[in-house]
Amino acid sequence: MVVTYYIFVGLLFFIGLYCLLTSRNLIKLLIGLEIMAKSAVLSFIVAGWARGENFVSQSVVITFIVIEVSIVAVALALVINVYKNTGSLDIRNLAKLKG
Amino acid sequence: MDLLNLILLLMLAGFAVMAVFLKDLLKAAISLAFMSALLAVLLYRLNSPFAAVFELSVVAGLITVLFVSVIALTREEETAKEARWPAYVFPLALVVFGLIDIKVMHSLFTNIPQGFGNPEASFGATLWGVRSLDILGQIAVIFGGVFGVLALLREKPLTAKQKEEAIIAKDGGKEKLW
Repeated sequence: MVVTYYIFVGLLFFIGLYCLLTSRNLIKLLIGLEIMAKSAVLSFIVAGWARGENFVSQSVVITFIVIEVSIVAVALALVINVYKNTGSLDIRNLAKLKG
Repeated sequence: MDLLNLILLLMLAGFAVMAVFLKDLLKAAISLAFMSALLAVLLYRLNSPFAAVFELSVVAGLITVLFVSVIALTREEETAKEARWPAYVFPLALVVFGLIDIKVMHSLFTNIPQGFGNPEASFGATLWGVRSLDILGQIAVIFGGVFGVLALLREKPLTAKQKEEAIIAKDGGKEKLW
C-alpha cells in the first residue's frame, strides 16, 4: 500500500528534523539534512510509482540529487572554515558573531 | 505491499536513527552511506532504476567521501559534546509523531489518482525533452556549488615579507645566504 511508504517518508523526515533541532555538531546537522533529503527522494519516487509516472519522478529526483550534492559540498566547505576559525565544530560557538 | 520493501523501509529508519545517535562521526557517516545504498535498492524495486543508480553512485559514493574527508580534516573528540536528553526523549517523540503520521498519511494518501504519463515514452525523452529546463538548472547549480566551494576555501595571498619568513622557516635561511 502506498500509505505505508508515506508513513515511512514522514518518519524519516521526523528523524532528520529531530537531528537538526537537537544536535550541536555541525557535521551531525548536515547528516540530519541528508536524512530529510532522502525522505524527499523516497516521496517523489513513491508518488511517481503510484501514479504510473516513473520517468518524470526520476527526472525530478536526479535534479534533486545534483542540488543536494552542491548544497553538501558548499556546507562542508563552510564547516571547514568554521573549524579553522573556532577550532571546534560546536554550533553554539557561532552564536558569538559580534565583531 | 511487498515484504522485502517493508524490511528495506524498516532498515532505512534503523540506519537513520543510528546515523543520528552514534557518537563517532565516522560511524554516523557510514550509517548514512548504508542508508543511501538501501534507498537505492528500494528505488530499483519501485521501477526507478536510473534514480537508483544516481542515488548509489552520487549520494552513497560521492557524498560519503566528502563527509569522511571533512571528518578526517576536522577530527576533534571533546569540543562538541552532544547533550544526553535528545537520546532519552527520542523514543517518546517518535511514538507520538508516528501516531500523528499514520493518521495524517491515511487521510491524505489513501486514494492517489492515476497519472497521465505516457507509457511509450522513454526516460531519455522525458529527461531531455519534457524536463529539459531542469538540465539548465542543474548546470547552474553545479557551477554555483563549484564556485561556492572555491570562494569559501580560497586563501589570502602571502605578502613579500610573509613569503620570506616562510622560506626561512622551511630551509633555515640557506636560500637567503646564497
